[in-house]
Amino acid sequence: MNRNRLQHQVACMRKSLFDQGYLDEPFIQLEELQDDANPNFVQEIVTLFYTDSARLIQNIEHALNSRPIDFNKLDDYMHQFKGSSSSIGAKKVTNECTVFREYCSAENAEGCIRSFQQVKQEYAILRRKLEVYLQMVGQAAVSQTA
Amino acid sequence: MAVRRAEEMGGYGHSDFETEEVHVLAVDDSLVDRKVIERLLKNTSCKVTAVDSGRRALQFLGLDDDKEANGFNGLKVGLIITDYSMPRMTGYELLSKVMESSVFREIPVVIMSSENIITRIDRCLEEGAEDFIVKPVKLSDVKRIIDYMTADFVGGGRRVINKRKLRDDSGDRSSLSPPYTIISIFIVNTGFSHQTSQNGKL
Repeated sequence: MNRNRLQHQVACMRKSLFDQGYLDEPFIQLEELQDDANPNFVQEIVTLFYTDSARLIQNIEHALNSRPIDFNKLDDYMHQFKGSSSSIGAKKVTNECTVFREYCSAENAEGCIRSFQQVKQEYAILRRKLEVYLQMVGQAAVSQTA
Repeated sequence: MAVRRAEEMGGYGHSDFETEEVHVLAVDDSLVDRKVIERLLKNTSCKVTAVDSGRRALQFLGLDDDKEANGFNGLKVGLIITDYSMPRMTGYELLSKVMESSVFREIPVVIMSSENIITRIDRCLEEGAEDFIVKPVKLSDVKRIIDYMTADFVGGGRRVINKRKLRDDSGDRSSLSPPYTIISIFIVNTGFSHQTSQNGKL
């Protein structure tokens, strides 16, 4: 595919990710930290984020299914999840984590369960979009050397 | 090592110093944050050892099991940057242990936290932290810290200056003091604009 067209598609998708609030400032920093010496830095961090998130989501599920619910443990897991989302600039995911933590400190089980669905949803949406976006970035990079 | 040599030589600007990178010990239990801080530090031309817990940090320094440092690892460390919220040993507890050590108390310790809690910041500063960064950490945060902890010398090269020691020795409390930086951080975060003068006084 034409290199310019690919680059244009990448730029459009990137802009919409930011405009629609999926991504924030810290993601830009990750992109800036990527260079010839670290050509896959963004993908590496994002992959670490997926691995970490999978673990935390599983832990939170388990904690929400336990009776009685240990709200301290829940908050701890969500604090970690919020931390890594925030570090990569996953804005919507981070915001949903904040909502969850509010229900958590109020020890509102119903609220936690509901908002956790939102967290998982936003995470799934972001992951899908990032996978598409980074794949396009990869294709555009390869096309440049052709 | 850099701090030691500076102290032994009693001054700076000796032309037989070689150029050395600052060796930073980064401590964070988060996989993502550890990778990010490592990259940020390397981007600022630091050597980095990144560990996932306070325990491992103490092991690296040779301070675990209440023994004084015997290993050479700790001697290389010019700065410790640690997350506050970690399981088992918090960044504050790590800071305390470093401050208890006669060997390592001179190493500047910077605390990172996603929570901008003034009492937490105060507590860390009172315990001896050099600075406090609110996460997510930016390259500008790291650059600022490395910049004010190093200085360029006649003949080239950069050295870590232990700020607290310098201040204590000279009695000069005005230059580059942490309150200048910390107040900037949480005033910026609360959205107030501020004026700070060059000598660090508001």
